[in-house]
Amino acid sequence: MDGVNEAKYNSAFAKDTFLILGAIALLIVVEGYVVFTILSEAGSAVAPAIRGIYILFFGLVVGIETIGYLQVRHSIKQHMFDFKYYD
Amino acid sequence: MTNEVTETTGLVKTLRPYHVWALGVGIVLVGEFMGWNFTVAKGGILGALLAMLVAGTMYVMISLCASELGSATKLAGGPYDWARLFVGPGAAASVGLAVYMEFIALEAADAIVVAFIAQELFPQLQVFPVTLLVIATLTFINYRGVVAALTLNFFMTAIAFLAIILFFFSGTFGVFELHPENLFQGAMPNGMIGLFAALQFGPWFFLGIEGAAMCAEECKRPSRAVPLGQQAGMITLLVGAAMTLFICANLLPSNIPAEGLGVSVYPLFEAAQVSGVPVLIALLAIGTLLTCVSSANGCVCDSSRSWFALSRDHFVSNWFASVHPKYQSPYKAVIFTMPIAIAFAFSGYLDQVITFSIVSGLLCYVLIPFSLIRFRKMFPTHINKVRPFVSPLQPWISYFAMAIAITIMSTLFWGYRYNLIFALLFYLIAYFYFHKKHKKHQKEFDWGREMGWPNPSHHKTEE
Repeated sequence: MDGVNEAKYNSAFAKDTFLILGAIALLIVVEGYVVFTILSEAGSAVAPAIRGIYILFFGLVVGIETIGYLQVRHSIKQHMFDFKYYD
Repeated sequence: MTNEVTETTGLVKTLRPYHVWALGVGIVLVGEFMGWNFTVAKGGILGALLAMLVAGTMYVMISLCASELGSATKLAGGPYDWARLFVGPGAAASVGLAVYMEFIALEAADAIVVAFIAQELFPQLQVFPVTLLVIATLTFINYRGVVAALTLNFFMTAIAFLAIILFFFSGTFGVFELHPENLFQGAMPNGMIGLFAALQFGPWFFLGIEGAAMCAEECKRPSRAVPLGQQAGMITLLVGAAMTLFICANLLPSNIPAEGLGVSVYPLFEAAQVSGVPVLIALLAIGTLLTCVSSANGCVCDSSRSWFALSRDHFVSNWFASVHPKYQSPYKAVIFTMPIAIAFAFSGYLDQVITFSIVSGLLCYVLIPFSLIRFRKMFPTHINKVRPFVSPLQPWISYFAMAIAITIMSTLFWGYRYNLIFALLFYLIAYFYFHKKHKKHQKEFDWGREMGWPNPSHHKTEE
């Protein structure tokens, strides 16, 4: 951490964290609203088992992307001083 | 395998996460302004929703693989370089060619659409010269360097995405009336087979997001910029796709297959017209035009990098591997995109060109996760030097992404079987051709010198 302005790094990392958490929240709210609104209006056209496939893939999309983006945050936190991300 | 030119002059390293976002989303967002709605023609609203979720799942997994591979290798060739390092030369060159074809065919299609839109606005214009002008202008911008090209993409893409957000929230907050009855009436016109057939157009929502990692070699801090920018891009597309489907399905009827949402050329723009709000109509018209231009612009960037990488390793003429001394762009590879894009554009078969682009993309979606599986086997230890970003849930998501890509490819038998067979044959021939050509330039790969990495786990010389 030689020659690194830690306060600047922590502030820049906080901005990245804000971006990541904001994007995840937007994804969950919008995707959830759209999928459940369409299924509540049109879902009766298919059998309940088929509706389960929609719920499964909704969970996969949102779940994997959330875990993935949190992993990006973890990676930035882990390496920001080694690779001088914010200089 | 490094060429003489790039040892003295490398690509400029200035890009930041928002450039990565602009490259990825800029290429893809056009698919949310047009094309995705063919899912509705096949499977109705429920078919479109399923296609969006299934394709979205595949692309989330592909983009995580691409983020890990891109931030580790930091090379311009993207899927080509990943396959070269971790799979083999024949597969690498085939996937490099597939990326080149995927993006260049998409560029041609985008340029044609821009010309059609220009002709609708100004009927005295002709499609042929406007298409040529669009391709030539974007080639020139990319020739002048990647920063200018991607900064331009950032602004065009941001405006287009804001247009979608504004449209969606205007609808949900009651600025104009929604018609939820359209959702039920057009739910599933072709039954269960329609749901499955709709999957073939699912990639339209996200096709090309893996290309965001192709600017890794030109990033200032690739191990931060690539995963941060690419995953932000992926979320942008997921959110944009959901908003687009919801608002268009509410406003445009889809119960009659021959008309309405399923066959609309510009569904978002037409939905805005139905809303009757002049500001939204103008905004969505501008958004449609800007996404076509930004998509074509990003495609020039990515296709030229793939060709540059193929050239750098002698799979195609080494002449294309030069870097411009002033602009530090792969200028010969950039210029070479122009005649090929023009040839595609004037073949006159827009849907065939796009289908070829999709098949090329799907081939990449099998080989990208496969490259990651091989990467993890060759370099199992997580060390900063080799793998700064570790994507989660591996190797399960790689296997799952490959399975979905093959499933979606199989659905192309409904309506595009000859395109599928032709494309697969084309890449099979390319595989054998490049495999043979590679033998002429084959030499021992030095991981330390080429990549700055330790030898892989299976390396014999260390034992």
